[in-house]
Amino acid sequence: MVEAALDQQQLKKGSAELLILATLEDRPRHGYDIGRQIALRSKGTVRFHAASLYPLLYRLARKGWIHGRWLEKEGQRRRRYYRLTPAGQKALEAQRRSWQEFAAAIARVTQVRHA
Amino acid sequence: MRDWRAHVKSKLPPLGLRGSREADIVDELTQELEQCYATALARGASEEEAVRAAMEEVPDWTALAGEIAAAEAPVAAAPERPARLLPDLRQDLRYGLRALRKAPAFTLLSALTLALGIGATTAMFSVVNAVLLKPLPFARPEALVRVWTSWANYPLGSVSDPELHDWRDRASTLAGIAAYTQKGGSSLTTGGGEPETVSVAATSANFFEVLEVRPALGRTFLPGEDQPGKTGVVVIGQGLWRRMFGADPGIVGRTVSLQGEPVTVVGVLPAGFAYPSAEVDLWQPAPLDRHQPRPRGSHYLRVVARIAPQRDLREAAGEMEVVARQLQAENPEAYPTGSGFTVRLRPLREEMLGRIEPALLLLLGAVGLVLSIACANVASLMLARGTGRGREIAIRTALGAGRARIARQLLAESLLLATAGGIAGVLAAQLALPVILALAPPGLPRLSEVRIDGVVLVVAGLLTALTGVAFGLFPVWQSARADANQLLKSGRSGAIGGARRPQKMLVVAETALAMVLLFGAGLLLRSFAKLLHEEPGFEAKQVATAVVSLPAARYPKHEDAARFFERLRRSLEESPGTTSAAVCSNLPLSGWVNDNLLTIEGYVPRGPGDRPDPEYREVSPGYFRTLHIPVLKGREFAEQDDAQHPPVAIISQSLALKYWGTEDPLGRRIRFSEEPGTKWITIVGVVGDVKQTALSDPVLPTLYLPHLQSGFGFGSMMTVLARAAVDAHASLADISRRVRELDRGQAVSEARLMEDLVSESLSAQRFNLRLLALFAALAVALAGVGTFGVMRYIVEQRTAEIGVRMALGAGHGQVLGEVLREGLALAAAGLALGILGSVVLARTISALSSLLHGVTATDPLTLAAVLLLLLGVAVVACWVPARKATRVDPTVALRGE
Repeated sequence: MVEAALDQQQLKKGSAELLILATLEDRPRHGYDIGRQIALRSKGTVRFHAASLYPLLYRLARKGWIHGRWLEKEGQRRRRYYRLTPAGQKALEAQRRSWQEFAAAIARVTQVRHA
Repeated sequence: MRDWRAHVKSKLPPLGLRGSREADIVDELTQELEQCYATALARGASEEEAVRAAMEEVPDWTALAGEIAAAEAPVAAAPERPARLLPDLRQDLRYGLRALRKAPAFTLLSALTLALGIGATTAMFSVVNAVLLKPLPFARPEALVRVWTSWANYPLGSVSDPELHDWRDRASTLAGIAAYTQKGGSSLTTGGGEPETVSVAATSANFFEVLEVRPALGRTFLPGEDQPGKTGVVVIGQGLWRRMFGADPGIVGRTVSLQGEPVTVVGVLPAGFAYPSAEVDLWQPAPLDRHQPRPRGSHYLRVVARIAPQRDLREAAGEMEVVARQLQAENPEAYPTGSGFTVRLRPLREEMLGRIEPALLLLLGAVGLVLSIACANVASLMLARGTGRGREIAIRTALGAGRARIARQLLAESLLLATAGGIAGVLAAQLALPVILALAPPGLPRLSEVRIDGVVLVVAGLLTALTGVAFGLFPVWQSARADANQLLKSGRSGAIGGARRPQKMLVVAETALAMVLLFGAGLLLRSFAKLLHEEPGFEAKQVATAVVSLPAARYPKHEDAARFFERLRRSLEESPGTTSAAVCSNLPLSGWVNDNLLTIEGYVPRGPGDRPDPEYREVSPGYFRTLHIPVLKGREFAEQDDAQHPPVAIISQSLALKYWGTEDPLGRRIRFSEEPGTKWITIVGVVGDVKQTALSDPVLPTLYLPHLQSGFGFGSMMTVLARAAVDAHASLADISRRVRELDRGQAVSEARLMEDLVSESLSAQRFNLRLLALFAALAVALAGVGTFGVMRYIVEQRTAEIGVRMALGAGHGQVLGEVLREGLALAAAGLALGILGSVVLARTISALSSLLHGVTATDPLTLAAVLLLLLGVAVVACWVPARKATRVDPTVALRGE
């Protein structure tokens, strides 16, 4: 785990919606899976407690960006799967774009400085 | 495997979400924790580590609930739309139910307290409803009035035959005037069966027409059936019809034997008809011979009349007053100047219910106070509980739930509690009613109609809603004062600052209400004690009594009846179980009074209304001996005081004092009419005064005549008395046996002990006292519990402060004294308010003084006793929490902070 010099909490807050939406882009997932995907893809850098993940999910659902549905797969207990809605897809793209612009801007600024 | 669902459910504060949403969230969180736990185990963690890993997922459940509620909240807390009122309400109720389930002890205690209050009020109201509120069971009952003759000494007197006829001829404002008398027990025989004693009313033929009662079967009386030779018909009540005739539908036309005379049953009355009283089984025409009426001075009839359509009571009373003046002018000898004669009309409702109305309303008021105290108790319980919920409410407020929404939520909870209390209360009332009815005095009319019906249920429902709102408003008020910000910041469970104040106010109010009730009960108790110590003027112990009513068919003349009673008396005197026996026209305290205008030789009335009019009784030899009434001067009646010997009389001490003063009345003479030729009666004895009407009434000057000499027609129905040597119950049986020995077909009625008669004469007072004492006891208990609860709460709130002070060296005694002082200050404020309330009530409710005897409505002794008792209760209620305060361990208390 990398000890970031920047305040992890603040970073996480700003990017949490984007992270969640991104994990749902390829397929619907249940809550635990979303948290696990984020941890996996960030190689453990970003981790959400249930206490912060679920309120976020509910907020996104309330905004109409994701949609939760109970599904029962054979041999498994029923779980609530979230999928991106078209509005969520648009939001993901917009957020991704502004994040990339932001990241690029940061990169430019920091590179200029190091140059 | 751990039960994560239970864990989530117990940890997550209620979110107040709609529908299955909350359950969904619980499910999801459960699965999350399960998965974390399972994953950790799979990774090789120990059970303990796995549990900890799962637990760490949610470090602060309250915060989580806040986050979720915020996430779920309508975008930017949109203003509530009225269209969502119903689903919101359902949600409020569901949320309330869950909140109540989570605090079972609080819920149970509150519901029980409310059940007590609502139950007692419902039971009492059902009595008031049946007895006072329901219209009388007659058509257009408001037009019915009782008509009385009125005299200077007797504001409400009976009516004579000629008066009845005159009124009927002259009154145009009265559509119908009916008369009746109640005859007491008569023996009824049907086709060779055993005679049964039935209670009979003799009525004018138009009685049922005036009351507008239609028979259930057959007919009522025809016009003229109260004239000589036509009176051989009877109408029976539902009770007798079922009891004696097995509800035989073919009863009409059947001939039965009443007091040995054959009469034909012509009709059966509808159920619920109970006039003149519920005891009456059978109605027969009273012989009211138009052509040969009884003397004008023979007042024995009761009269009920119906005011003509378009006329009112005032017009009728005015006309009857005019009629009275005409009669007086035409019959000066019957209505001498100074007799104060007039005619009075009183509404039938007032006649039937006027006497019991104040007592019943007072009891209803008392029970209302009990309900108020119950409300105060539940309110303070809710306040104490509210302290633990401060943070939860604050979160919801912070999330934009809105004051109104929170208030509605809390009110929904209160209403749920009240509903539980209300349902339990109605059930309790159903159980309590038979007890109340069993205590009720026999004279209480329409008692059989008391039940929990639709009206009572509606009122109980309203009461429930009202109490729910009443005690529910306190927590709402409290929540409105809460500062959400501050509460959220504080890490503690969240006591709401300043919440002690409303609770203290509740303690003061409860104590004041309990004080008022207890004072009222105390006054009744003192009155009752005084009544019990009231000297009746006779000795009731060991005396057996029974009424014997001889049929005119077999005892046509007065002498025949007199001979029978004299033989009966001697037979009883000879009985080994009896020390003495007597007969009399009517017993003291039996409810019967008779008076007679009198002329005293040499006495000139000092003005209008001064004509002697004493209570009048016919008694046999041995009467005063049997009842232990002291003979102060002269002698008792003897066997030779009969028709063959000079007429004699005995007077009571107060009569002697009133008309002879210090002079010796022995040998002086009286007579019943001014007409020349009327026999003079010589006074041969003076006896002690006796309470004739009621223990609470003053003694009446009384004149006694020997039954063998009298001529007032009491002869055929007399009361037999026997003083038992050992066993009064054996004497009761002895009386019946000896009556049957003398006349095989003769039954006795109203066989009872004189002691029971005295006790029964106090049954109304006993009923009032018992119920009010019960309500007062409830009030005191509730107020005590309420004080205790609040004091304990205050001590809990101050634990930290007390801990600090004890750490700084404050002694146990000091802490104890301080807590006690705080509690007793509240009690004292309540008592002061209670005294004020009691005095104001005593001054304003005049009904109270009508229920008191021998004490004033502001009796200082009662006041002092009540104050002491309540102070004692307050000390006990404060002592336990105060002791607890002294046991506060400073280190523990400080750590808690």
